[in-house]
Amino acid sequence: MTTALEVRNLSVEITRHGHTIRPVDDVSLSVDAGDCLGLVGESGAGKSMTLKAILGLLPKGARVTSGELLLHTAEGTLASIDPISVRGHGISMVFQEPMTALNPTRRVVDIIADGARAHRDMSKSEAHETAVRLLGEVGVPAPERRARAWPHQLSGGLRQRVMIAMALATEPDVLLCDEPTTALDVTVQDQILGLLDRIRRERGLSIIFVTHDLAVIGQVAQEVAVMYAGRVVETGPVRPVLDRSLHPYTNALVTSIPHVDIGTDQRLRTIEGAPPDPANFPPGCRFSPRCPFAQPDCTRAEHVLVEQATDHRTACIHPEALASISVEGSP
Amino acid sequence: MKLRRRSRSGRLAVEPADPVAAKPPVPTSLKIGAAILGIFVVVAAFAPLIATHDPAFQDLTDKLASPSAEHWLGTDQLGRDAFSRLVYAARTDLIVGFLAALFPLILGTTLGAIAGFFGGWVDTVISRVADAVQSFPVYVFLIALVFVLGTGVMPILVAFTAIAWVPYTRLIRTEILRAKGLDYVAAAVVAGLPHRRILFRHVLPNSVRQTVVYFMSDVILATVTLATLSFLGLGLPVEQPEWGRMISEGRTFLRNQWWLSTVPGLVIVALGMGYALIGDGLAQRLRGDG
Repeated sequence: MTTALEVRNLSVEITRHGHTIRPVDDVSLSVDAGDCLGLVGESGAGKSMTLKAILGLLPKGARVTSGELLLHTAEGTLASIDPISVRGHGISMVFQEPMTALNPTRRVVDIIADGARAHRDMSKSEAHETAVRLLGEVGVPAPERRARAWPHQLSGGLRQRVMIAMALATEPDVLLCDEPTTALDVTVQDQILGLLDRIRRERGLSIIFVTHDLAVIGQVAQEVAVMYAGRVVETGPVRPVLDRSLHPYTNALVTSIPHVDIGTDQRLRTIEGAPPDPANFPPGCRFSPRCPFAQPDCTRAEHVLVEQATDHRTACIHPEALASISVEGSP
Repeated sequence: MKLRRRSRSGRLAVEPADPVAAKPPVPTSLKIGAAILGIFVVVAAFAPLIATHDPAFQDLTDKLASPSAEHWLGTDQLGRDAFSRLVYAARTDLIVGFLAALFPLILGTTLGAIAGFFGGWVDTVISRVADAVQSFPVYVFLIALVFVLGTGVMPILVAFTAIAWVPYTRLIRTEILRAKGLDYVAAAVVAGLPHRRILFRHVLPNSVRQTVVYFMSDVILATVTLATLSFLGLGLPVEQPEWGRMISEGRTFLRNQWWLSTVPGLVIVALGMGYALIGDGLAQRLRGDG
């Protein structure tokens, strides 16, 4: 299978008041054409920062200190690219908050048509038609009429559909989704996930889907990358990673998923401790202070992703510790 | 939910409001304010039809006359018809007052947008110049400028613009800094839209609410300031009918011909009320609780 987008050794640093932190540390990701890569991790793990770096949207003070972005080209090769140059072409983004990601002073049709016109030359009416067609494609009922609506007149689910239509207007090869369903209620979330899945299959689109919700990952992704404290700690096909985790952090995330059949007298499982402060990451394996299987040598472990099963890589130097216990509560 | 008549599409008039077409009701204050301003605009536009006399015609044999059927508001110290002067003055005060607020709005908004959107040294220069302008006492600066620039409408507009742009720049700059961080601006950036389009279509339209409301109060201020300058004998030519000058000239005769000063004063108050109500209504409307 061909790789649609590859990120190699990406590091992002932020300098504030003379202190430099590295919220994204040597992250490599790749997503195959037509696949969905789930990027999971707690808040502050560096997921969103990675997406922003890919699009060149880093906030003031943050900069990419190393790394390369490769995008599949028409010639069938991967080409190194500059984030700014792919804007409106190869990569689009769906934002987390459909409330704030749509300009309240523009009609829905104009929001979408803008992207279409930025991508290639077309007349106003052509862009308008494209916008209405896209609204139909993302399942907005009565697209002709909704096109004239203002964002505030739409429900959260509809807004997110408009966001997706807007992202598709530039005809991207890769769609970055930053927790696109977090702000929605569960039934709507399910519809949007179904929509993204359908669009991915119909258009052969690659998706990088950022979320902290493992259940969502199980639903939409084929591949998954788990991030912790600015690093990718485990990658692989979605089922093996979730069912037979080879990193204690992934395992902890999986076993933390609450179940409906949990007894009222039972406490929810949590991960002990708190995510480390980016200004003061622990030495060696950054999860070791919270890891139930930690060994003395973990604090000296070098961060290398090692392939333990087919395409299934982990940074844990003691994956056998996990294999000895049975994994409960996988989704 | 309000029912809307849809005669154009031929559908039933009782169909529930189309959320796409529905508009919030217009606040009462906006209606009253617009009505007051409307009266002033009509009077200014049709001044020659409404005025009973030539506002410049002097009849020294009939000066300081009391109100009568001939002279509704009497005559001033030069025997000119006070009512006609009051009517013609609406033209001056309305137009000059409005422009004296509009030009600063345009200049201030442009500078604020540039400073906020591009940041860096451009922002620093604009912000420091704004500080410098603001550090002068407004009236002292204004009177000095008008004094130097001379008599006439242009000097007044130049002086107002040179001073009053500062609040607009500050307002817009702050709003733009806020708007710049919003997702839809990022979305526009990701879509590959050019800078200019992002600034004018996405950032600026979402930053002008407060400015519009502030503008309405600034028009009042500009109108009153214009009258004040005329009261002090600065700015507009002496012959030109202007409310501030009418107040000033009538001051001497306040004991016996009190209406000469009082009526123009009340007219200014009425116009100010009109602008204030419009500003209030707009603020209410833009907050979305119309």
